[in-house]
Amino acid sequence: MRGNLGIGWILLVAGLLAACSVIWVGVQAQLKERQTALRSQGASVAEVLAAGGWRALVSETARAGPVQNFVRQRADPDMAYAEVVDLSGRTVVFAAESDQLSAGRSQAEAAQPVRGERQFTRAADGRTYLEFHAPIFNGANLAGEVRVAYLKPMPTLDGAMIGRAVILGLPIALLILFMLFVSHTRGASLRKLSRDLDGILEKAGIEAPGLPAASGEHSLRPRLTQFAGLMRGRVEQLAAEHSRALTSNKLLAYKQSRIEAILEMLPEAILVIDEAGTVAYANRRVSGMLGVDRSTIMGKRPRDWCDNPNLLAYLSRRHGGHGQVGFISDAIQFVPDGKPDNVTGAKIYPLFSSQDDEKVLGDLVVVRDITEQQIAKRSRSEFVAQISHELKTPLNVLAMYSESMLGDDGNDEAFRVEAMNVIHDEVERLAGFINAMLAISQFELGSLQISRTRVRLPELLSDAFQAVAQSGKGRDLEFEIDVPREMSSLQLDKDLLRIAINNLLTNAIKYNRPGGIVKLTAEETPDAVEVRVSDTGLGISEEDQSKIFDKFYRSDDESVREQNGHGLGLSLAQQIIQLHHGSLGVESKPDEGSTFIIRLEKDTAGVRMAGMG
Amino acid sequence: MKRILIADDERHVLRVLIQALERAGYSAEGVLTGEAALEKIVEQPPDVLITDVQMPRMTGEELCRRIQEGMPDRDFLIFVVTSRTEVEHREWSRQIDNLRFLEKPVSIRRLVSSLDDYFAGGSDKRFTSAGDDAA
Repeated sequence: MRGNLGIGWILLVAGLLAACSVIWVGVQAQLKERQTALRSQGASVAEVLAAGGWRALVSETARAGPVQNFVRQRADPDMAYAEVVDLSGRTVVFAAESDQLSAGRSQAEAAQPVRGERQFTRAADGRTYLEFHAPIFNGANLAGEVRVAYLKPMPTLDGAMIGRAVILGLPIALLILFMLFVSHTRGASLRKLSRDLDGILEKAGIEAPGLPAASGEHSLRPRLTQFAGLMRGRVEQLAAEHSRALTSNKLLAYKQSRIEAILEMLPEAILVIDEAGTVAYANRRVSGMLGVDRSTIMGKRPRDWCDNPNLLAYLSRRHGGHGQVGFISDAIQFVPDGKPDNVTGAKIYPLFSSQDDEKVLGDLVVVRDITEQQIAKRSRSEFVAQISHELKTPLNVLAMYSESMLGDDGNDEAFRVEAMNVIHDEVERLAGFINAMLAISQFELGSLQISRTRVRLPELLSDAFQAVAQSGKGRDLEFEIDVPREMSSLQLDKDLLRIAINNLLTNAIKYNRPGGIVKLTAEETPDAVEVRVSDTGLGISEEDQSKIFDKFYRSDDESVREQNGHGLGLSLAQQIIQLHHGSLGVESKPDEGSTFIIRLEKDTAGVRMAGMG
Repeated sequence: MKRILIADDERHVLRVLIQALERAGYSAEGVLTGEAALEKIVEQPPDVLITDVQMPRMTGEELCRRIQEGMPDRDFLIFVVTSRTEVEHREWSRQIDNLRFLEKPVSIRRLVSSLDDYFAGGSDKRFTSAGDDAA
């Protein structure tokens, strides 16, 4: 406002000045006009009167002479007096409208021979008078002077003057007003602009340091400059933020896609069910495991797409609409549609927020194929069953025989002998089984260490053979051994190998026939050493040959079953040989006999030549 | 005299059981396989069958099922001798009438006493559900 007013004041003042000067000029012009008129009038009046001649003017009846008449007739308010003076300036005739005016004259002295005018200021009223004089001639001589005095025209304010002033001043005034108006409106719009700028800054949340509010064009410029600067700064800031956001988004997108890739690659089917009970996420394995396309299940409740009643019941347990929120710790299993040999397992985990332990974002459902797991479980279960059977069966026999011994049967000598023998056998059987189990367990756990020493094979074989032959004496069997006296020394675990050889020999005895042969041979070639245990016993069918090295496997053949056995002997022997990087094979024909062949390669790490450190 | 048939692939078990049961006054016979047992049963049903579970080819479970299928009206008692105690390994026995379990190691005294009680109660006394033998 102030700026605008500044201009306005200037305009106003200038306008007033202009008006005043115009009026002044007009007034002056008018004055001049009147003065000129007066001059001509006054001069002519004096001349006219003077022309009457001296005598006419100063006659005795001068009181009613031409001068008095003139004054009376004229009655001009501006006329002060008219007089006739003699040569020395002494008043001879005087006439004035009022007596007041008689005081104070020009006081001029001598009469002048020429016309003229004089100006004087009367002391009584301080006003200025113009006196016109004309010489009076008596004949050819100057007799005196006519003097007529008028008030000098001064500026007066009368109607005409005002009228002129208005006519002159009005356009100027109007012009001024117009310019003021324009200036004001311009000022108003500038003020509005300034307010708008402030408003924009405020909305943009930009602090504008204190410039005084714009009040006019000159203060608007710095305001605008500041505004432009602030806005540019803000735009740059926003651009930078935008760019950061873009980068951040890219990073997030990358991380998300990486996580999604991880989820997609997992071998399990993953589902996320949100708090509303609908599917929020499903990876692609869902189609293979659950037989549904993931695009069709997104956002849907399980009851809308889950065909398997077990799974549906499980999933609905959490969101059954009963409002229960419990931690489900158990998992379920079911047979998937179309794959009757498989087993699928599903488990629900609550999805806790990684930022807030209390907050649960939904449920994570993991569905996996547990067929192998089930097979392993079953296999373990069968394993336990086998062990249980193998332990309890001899125990059973021991219990029953010992109980019988405590009873009346104990009195029978023959029964006692029989019982003792059986008990003895069963104890050995039990012990043998337990030892075999322990050895196998150690193999399985990998905790069995083989300790190699330099072994002279002929000695080892011979010892084993002797022991077995001794225990097999009671049977109707022939024992043969054919082992070279000198063989290369080998780096072997003596005890373990002993067990392996022993198992083979024991089998050869057990599954033999009356009058049969048990034979142990050894052979050395440049590359390897072979040890053979053969019998002329029951033999092994082709079908069984592939299974005899399995743990606990015993042929269903009656004659085999007649013999006690836990089915671990060959398994153990094979493991031992394999530990030495060798192989155990079999050649057999049912009803003819079997030959088990141990082959140990000399080159392998397991077998070192003597002298090769 | 009451006839008892024993099926077990362990000769010693047969031997000692037969000895004990005959001493207790029963007539006892033993077979080594499930098939042999089935043959005998079809020929002439015993008063009691004692069978092991784990036998080659035909297990004790299989034997019992065959009997249940083939002779739903049979009324002789079956004792099943087992080394497993878990409940899930006895589920199958619910479908077989008149069946009881014996756990290894078997006590002959208890077995004989159970048999005596069983026979003493008359032939209309049946065990309708599987369970452990009473002390």
